Amino acid sequence: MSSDPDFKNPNGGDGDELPTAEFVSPAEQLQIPTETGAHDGQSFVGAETMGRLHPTSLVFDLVSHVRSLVVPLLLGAFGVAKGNFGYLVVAGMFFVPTVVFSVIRYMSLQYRIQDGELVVTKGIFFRRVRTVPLERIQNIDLVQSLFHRMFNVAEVRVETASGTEPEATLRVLSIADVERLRAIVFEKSRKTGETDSSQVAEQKQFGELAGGTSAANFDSSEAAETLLSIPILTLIKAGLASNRGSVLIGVLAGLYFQFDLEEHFDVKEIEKWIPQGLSTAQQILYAIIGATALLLLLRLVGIVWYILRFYGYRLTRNGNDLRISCGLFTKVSATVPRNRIQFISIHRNIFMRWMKLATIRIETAGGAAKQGEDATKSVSSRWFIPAIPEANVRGIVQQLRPGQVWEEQEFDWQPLSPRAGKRMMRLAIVWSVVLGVAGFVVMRPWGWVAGVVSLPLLVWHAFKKSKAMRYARTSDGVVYRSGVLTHKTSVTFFEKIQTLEVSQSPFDKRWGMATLTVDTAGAGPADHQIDIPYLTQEFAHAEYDQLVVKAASHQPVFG
Amino acid sequence: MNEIIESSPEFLSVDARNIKLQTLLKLITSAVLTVGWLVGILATYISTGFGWFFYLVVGGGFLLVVLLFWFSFFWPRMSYRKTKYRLDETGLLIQRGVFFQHRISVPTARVQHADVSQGPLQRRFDLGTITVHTAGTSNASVELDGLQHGVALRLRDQIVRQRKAIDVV
Repeated sequence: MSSDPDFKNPNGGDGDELPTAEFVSPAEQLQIPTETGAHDGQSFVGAETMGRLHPTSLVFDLVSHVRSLVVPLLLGAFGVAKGNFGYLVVAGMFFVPTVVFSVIRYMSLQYRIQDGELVVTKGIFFRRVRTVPLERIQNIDLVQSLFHRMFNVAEVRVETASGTEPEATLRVLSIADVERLRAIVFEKSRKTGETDSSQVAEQKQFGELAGGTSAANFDSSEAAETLLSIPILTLIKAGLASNRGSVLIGVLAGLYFQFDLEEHFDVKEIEKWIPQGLSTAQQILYAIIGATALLLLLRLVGIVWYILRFYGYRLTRNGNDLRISCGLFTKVSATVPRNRIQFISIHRNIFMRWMKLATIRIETAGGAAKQGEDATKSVSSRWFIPAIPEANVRGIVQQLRPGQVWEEQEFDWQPLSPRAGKRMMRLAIVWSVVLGVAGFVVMRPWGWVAGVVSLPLLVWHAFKKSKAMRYARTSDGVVYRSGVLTHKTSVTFFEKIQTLEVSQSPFDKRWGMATLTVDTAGAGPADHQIDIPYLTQEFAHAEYDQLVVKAASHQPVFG
Repeated sequence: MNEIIESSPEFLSVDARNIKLQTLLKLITSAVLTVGWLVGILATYISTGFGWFFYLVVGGGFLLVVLLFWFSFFWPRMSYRKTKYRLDETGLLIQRGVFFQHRISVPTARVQHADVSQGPLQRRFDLGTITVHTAGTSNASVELDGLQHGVALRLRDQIVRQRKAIDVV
């Protein structure tokens, strides 16, 4: 193990000039009473190192790398079974370095808060020092598997606005250390946010309006306030409404082809199970029963997935920070500072609309990589609120964005160009003709039927799509709504607008139309962009001109 | 020159020398493609001799090559005429596009950084490209090429200066 003086000055000469006060300041931060382990704060005064990984890290790190060792391990076992111990040596050559590196990783990794930065040092031969300025830290996400929970530890992902990967991953820390880290990081970064005090005041003003979802509005902004918890019944409904089951089909199909299962399972063998000698009516009946059972099974998978991922979902607010925690076995927790929300997107698919539910996705800067379906990675964006009763949407949006009055019916919705529907339907006709011709070429003589069948569907879809697309401007941002089967309504705010664009294709010019694009940071996880086609060119250009001034006159709080 | 950039009431054109540079670049591309076409003719002759396919390659290719050379002269001129920029108190505004027309606005406060680059051919013509980076996603960086190198540098400095002025406030 390296000696301690090394860790004092990871940045070389810079460290020498640091006044000792710099080391004390994180501890001072901690003395501000928080819900988390403030009592432990004293132990940091004058401490050079803030923390190390939890001892169980060794095991978890090893387990995470063991996947790459499966082949040598099998090889070793195979060799031993055959009585040939030479295989064991080969397996050991793979296995021992992995263990050694795991030990080195565990022993050498240290982190601390110094000079307003999170400093993570690791490595013995190649010492790597990663410094992350605290005000750049977007969120600190936690993942706690069942095993992590047994030892009261968690995997910590420190995320910044830049890049696609977490800035630093600490696998694993004790929960007490995590709370300490969170308290310091967000205490620091809160101080740099200049408008926070005004936001808190605003929040108090609007807190009363927030409705049934929020508990009593505490005077102290330090107290955590539960904004939303999702009862299991709502999760079941959301699971029913979701298409998670179809993901399973994809996974199964992938497995089937990946492992060449067709050699073992012949699809034709299924025919053996189908009872013979049935009447046509019975066949139809069985087909219907079978299809219904399959659908129910898929929906059941959806329900199970929702319960596994979001059981015990709680959204709380502690001052400016929103914190989500959920999960039945693997618990995930993420913190999102409220003023870093770039984009709020409310999605309602067809089943959710029946059940009066909605999902809310958000985007924070740098969230572009978190498009994944995996909820442990994207709970702070894609799965921000997996299900919420329609009646509570208004209150929650006000919590996410103080001052945003969310009355979708009341917005000043601007329709597309009056000829947009005609243009989209004409495009649909062109597509069905193309489909028909292509079908005829590929599959003579009946391929053209595809075009005929798709014609009414595509035209209907185009018509509904043109009716669904609407744009509106609110007092401090822009709203865009679209979608036929899944309605998507998204809002961003003037100070979050990165660039504006209005574009016209030659076709647009012929129809007197234009597309207005509002670009924000981190666009992606919400699966909806403010990119409004088929506006009249007069409106698009006038709106662009006004938005340019609006965007320029609203300054972002964080760069 | 500096004053013109700092308070440009009207949209400005990029440097006219960019027409020459772009024409040159497109002519080089056309020449390379022409060589490819000639090789193609030879290959067709060797493999199939004088057949309908040979005449198709010769005739069709000839039309394409003529079109390419015409395009090399026509396009840079049109593109130059349609490309305008302006820096005002809101930020950098760019208009461009011959068939697909775009108007892009980058508010000064959203500029993460701005840089000026100059390729080897651009250096011959004393031209440069300014790239303005934002934290955005689909328009994360906005490019404007064909500015005189000195103008591009001053434009960048002016953007950075405006950006700093906002940060101070």
